[in-house]
Amino acid sequence: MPLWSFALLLAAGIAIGRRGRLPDRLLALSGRALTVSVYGLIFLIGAGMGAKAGLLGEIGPLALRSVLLALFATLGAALACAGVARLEARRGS
Amino acid sequence: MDPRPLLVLAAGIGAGALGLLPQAWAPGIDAGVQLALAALFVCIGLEVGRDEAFFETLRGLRLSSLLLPAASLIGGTAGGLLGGALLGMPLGLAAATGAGSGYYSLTSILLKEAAGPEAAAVGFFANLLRESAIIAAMPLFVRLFGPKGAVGAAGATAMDTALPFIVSSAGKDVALLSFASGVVLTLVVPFAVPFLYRLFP
Repeated sequence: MPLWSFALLLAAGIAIGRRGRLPDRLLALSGRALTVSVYGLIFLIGAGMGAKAGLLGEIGPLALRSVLLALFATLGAALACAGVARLEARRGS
Repeated sequence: MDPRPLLVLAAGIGAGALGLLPQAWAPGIDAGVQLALAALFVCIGLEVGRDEAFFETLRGLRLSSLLLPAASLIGGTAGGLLGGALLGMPLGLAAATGAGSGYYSLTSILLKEAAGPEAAAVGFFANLLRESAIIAAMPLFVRLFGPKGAVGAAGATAMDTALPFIVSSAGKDVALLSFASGVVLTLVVPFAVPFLYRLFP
C-alpha cells in the first residue's frame, strides 16, 4: 500500500472517532478489532516465515541480528535524547 | 513481557512449516493482509479519535516538546543504521527497524508488506526486545542516560507499556513528557518505517 493511503486511513479513523458519529457499541468493538487485526497479522507473518523454505533454519542468526539491532537502536535513541537534555540544560544555565 | 505476540507468531510459524495453510491460499492471504492492514489503521485512528487525553496532550505540545521524540527517532534510526552496517545487513531494513521505536506489531506488519517475512521477523524481534529491555532495565537507563534519555530509549512505548516503569524510576515529573513523546512517536512510526525502508536501497 502506498504511504498516503496509510495517512488517509488513519485520518479517516481519527475523524470518525473524534466526531463520535458511530454508535458506542460499534466504537467499543474497534478496540477488540484492533487486537484481532494485530494478532491475525502476526500469525500470518509467522505463517509466511514457516512456509518459506530455509527461513526456519535462519531463526538463530535472525534472532542474533535482532538482538544487536535492538541494542544499537535503543542506545542510539537514549544517547540522542541524553544529548538533547544536556543541550537544554546548557541553554538554561 | 507479554508472551502472547510470541505465542501467536510461533503458532503461525508452526502452521506455515506444517503446510496447514495450502499454497493455493497465498493470494487470498495476501489480500487478507492488505485488508487487515487497512482495518488496523482505521482502528488505530478510531482509538486515537476517541481519546480526549490524546488531544489534550497534542494541544499542549510546543515546538520544543517535539525535540525529544525527534531525537529518539533519529537516534534509533542512526543506531539501527550503524548496527546494520556492522552486521552487513540491508541498510533500509536496519534503518526501518531502528525507527520502529519499540512498536513491534506495526513495524513487523509494515516490513512484511514492504519486504517479506524475513524482514518482518527482524522488525518484530528487534522491537519486542527493545520494549522488553527497557522495561527490565529502566533504573539502569535512568542512571546512565538520565530521565530524558530513558524516555527516548522507550520510544513509542513511553506512552503506555513503559510509562509506569519510567515514572517509578525517574519520578512523576517526567510522566507528561514521556506520554507526549510516546504520542508523537506513535503517530510518526507508521510513516517513518516504510519511508526509511525505501530511502536506503
